[in-house]
Amino acid sequence: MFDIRATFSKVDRRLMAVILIAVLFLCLWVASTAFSKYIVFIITLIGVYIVASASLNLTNGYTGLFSLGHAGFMAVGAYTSALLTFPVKGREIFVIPKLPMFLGGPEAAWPFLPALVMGGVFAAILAAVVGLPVLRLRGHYLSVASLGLMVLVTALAMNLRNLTRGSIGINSIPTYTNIWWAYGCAVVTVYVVWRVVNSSFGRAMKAIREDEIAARVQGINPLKYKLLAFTIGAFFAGIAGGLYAHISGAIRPYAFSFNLTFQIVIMVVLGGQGTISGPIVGTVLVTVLRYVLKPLEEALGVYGLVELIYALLLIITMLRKPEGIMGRKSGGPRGGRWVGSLGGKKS
Amino acid sequence: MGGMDDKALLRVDNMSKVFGGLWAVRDYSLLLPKGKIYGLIGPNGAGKTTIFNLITGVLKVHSGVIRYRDQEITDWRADQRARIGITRNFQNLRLFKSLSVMENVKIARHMHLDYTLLHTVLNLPRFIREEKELEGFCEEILGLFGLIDEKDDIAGELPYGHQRKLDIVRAIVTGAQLILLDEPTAGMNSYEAQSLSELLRDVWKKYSLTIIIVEHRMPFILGLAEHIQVLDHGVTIAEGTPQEVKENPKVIEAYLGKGDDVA
Ligand SMILES: Nc1ncnc2c1ncn2[C@@H]1O[C@H](COP(=O)(O)OP(=O)(O)O)[C@@H](O)[C@H]1O
Ligand SMILES: [Mg+2]
Repeated sequence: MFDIRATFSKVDRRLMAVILIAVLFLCLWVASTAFSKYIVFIITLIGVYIVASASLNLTNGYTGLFSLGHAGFMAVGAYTSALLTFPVKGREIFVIPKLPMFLGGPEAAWPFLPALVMGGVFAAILAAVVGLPVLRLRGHYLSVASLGLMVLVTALAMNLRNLTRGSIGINSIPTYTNIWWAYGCAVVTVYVVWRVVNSSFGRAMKAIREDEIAARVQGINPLKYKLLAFTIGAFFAGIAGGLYAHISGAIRPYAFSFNLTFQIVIMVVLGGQGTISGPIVGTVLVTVLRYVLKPLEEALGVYGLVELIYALLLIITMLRKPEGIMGRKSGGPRGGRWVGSLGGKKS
Repeated sequence: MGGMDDKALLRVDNMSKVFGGLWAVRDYSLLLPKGKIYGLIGPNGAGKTTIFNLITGVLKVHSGVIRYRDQEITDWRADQRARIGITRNFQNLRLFKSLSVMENVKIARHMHLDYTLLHTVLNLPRFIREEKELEGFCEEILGLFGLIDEKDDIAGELPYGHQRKLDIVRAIVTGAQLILLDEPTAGMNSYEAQSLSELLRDVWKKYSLTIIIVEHRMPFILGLAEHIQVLDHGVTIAEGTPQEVKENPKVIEAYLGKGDDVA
């Protein structure tokens, strides 16, 4: 990996990126025509999860905030987008509330893209509001509080029955998400994260991760940049949630709970926190593993086998290669803050 | 109030700090004129670093008033103080260890960048221009301090002397007018300390800085500072010109008595 990096660093990076994206979409096109529906579904899902993992990386990898709330933001995006796009005719039958006037009125259903963006916006607003108190917490406290936020969101989704239909969830959601939507969003997400981390905003985030006090005496207000990272992360989590709603066609509060949050955390940690390629690699591995193991799980009747293997993977990663697959070994014998020790550090 | 106050960049009145019932700093006062180099000396545990923590806002004062350019900043956050021109280095080096030397310096320049998130994401001309200027500026400074060949190295992997230098470079590139240097030569040999002293004098002149230095090496501080305060157990026991301080019996007792390395 190091050799590849050294070789390519000399080539114009922008050209490389364009070529890479072109090749990616060519491969996706080939895949979408050559493979079965099921395989294409899995490939599309990987794109959706990349949106989630790449954005979680901004807080967890670059800013050093170990957030466990990502699934909560995905839920916000999923419900928002599902409710906004639900066809007017079906609303009565499925007991889905009609849209209020300020969102277009009872005769309106939103097109996919604006609904998706709105889901991101709502998730970002929630992050900004909740972030202000929560981001003052440090280390474990922040992780627990963000997990609490996720629990709160799923509890709301369970209990606001008039809006969400409670534990039954919403089904018959139009399945707009296809391979192009998923990877279009994935490319945008990765691009935005890449732009941000290579700017003064991203440098401030990394500075906070490395040493908050040193960052402060250099004029960086930690809360501001933590909030920024958390909010941008939540925005894309909302998008990922929306994409998810429109690929599965059905959402339930339970789908956005511990399993999903930890799955995305594992993708980021396994691939390498604080690297651009890490979450992508992690997402591919974890998702492929899930669908390879699924038949085994069913055959053996051992449900939860996948989760067990995820947990093992996480433990092995942290013991053997805490910086993740794509992570560079961090310099210096110390560096053992627990958040730091969870992840690879790279600029 | 005329003369004196006009020129005072930093004014501290009766500042104190208590840690668990013990006075780490007691009734500390300072009138620091613009453009001067002052020294702060005293045995280990005298409260020098704590004074720096209080002036830079890393810690909150227990009592007392801090004014910078006639503005009271006693309750300001550290980053707010940095933005009006107060920064420092750290006695125990707080580099951004896993980032490159260049990135460390660029972060220190944070306050001078003005582009927005939109400029960043869309790679607009303003972003490109400011980042290019930044790169040039940082290269120049790294060249000045002899760290240019290490610009892509990881800060935490640099040799110790270079790390100390980088820590000082960061403080200087912030563009702060007032820089507090906490034992900048700690762990250096006397040759390295000497060349650092010369370098500091150069940048002090070049950027017309105001500096307070905490230092253990007497020749270093005596040659650099024109006014020295001596601290013991959180209390200022003497102050004056290097000559006056050196001859003060209280200083000799507090300092030499404890066998610190006074040359
Ligand atoms: N954050 C802190 N919490 C508790 N005690 C502290 C803290 N910082 C410094 N002290 C105590 O305050 C006194 C002064 O310390 P310090 O300012 O570091 O001294 P110096 O820099 O002169 O060696 C010491 O007794 C030290 O143990
Ligand atoms: Mg000290």
